[in-house]
Amino acid sequence: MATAEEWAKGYVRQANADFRRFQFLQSDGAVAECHKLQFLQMACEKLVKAHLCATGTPPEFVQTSHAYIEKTLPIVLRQKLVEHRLPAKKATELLKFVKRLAGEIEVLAPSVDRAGKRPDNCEYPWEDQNGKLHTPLDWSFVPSQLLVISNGRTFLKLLDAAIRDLLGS
Amino acid sequence: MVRPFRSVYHGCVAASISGKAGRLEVVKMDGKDDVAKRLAQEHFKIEPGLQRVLRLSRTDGGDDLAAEPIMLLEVNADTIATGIQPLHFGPAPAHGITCSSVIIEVTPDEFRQIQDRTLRLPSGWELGEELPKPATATGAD
Repeated sequence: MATAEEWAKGYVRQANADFRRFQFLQSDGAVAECHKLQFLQMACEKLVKAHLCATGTPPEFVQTSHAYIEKTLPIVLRQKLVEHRLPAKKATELLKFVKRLAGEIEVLAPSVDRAGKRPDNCEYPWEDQNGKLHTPLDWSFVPSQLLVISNGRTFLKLLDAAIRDLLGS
Repeated sequence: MVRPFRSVYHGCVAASISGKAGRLEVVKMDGKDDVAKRLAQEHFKIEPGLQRVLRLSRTDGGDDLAAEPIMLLEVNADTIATGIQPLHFGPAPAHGITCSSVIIEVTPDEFRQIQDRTLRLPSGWELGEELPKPATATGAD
């Protein structure tokens, strides 16, 4: 039976691979936003699950849900903010941004729809309240808009550092 | 030639042999209590919704061991209620965080449930001392 440490390592290795694929796709203008963001969502989910598994949280417990990012990713990235000793005002602003973005990344998974209020997702078409059909290929996702601003770029650096540090530990 | 190397425990004390001087040099790092207080203060500084930070201890007293992580319970009004989700963080000696840590974040309502034992901490863990909130918390340098 695999140990908690082995599960954590497995999750972070996969998170790293997903995040590198996201970075690779980011530079390709022909790739749809939904496909890029799907890798980002998967990387975030696996990173937080690695931190959960490392404490001995049973793997079967974390495997049952995609809804871990909104709450736990800000805690993971806050650790990076503390390590880098950013001025408190800037760190507070960044953390607020991280929380907003983490919530948006979480709803990219089709199974997370906030009780039907957020059917937009990276994988499957959905129908809005007016009966209009939308597809991920054509949708303008909030994270795509947030990632290109300054705090969004910092978010990606923090995420990269969190994955690398856990991978190397 | 003595080859320099650095060995860092996952606890809170690091020792190194300096290749230049060729002598054993024991470097006293911050203890667990100091690192715990520092983590709490840093979190208070940047989390407007953070109300309380408490140490968690093991009922068997095993948390006195240097290799055991610092365990913190954070009561945050700006988080969502998802129950007990312990997150593990390794040490980051380069940044002055010499101990590994486990953080559990809960809402004020969940904290009340922990206090009246309707929400359970992981087996063998219990609430410990509360860490002080700095006078100037949140957003000010």
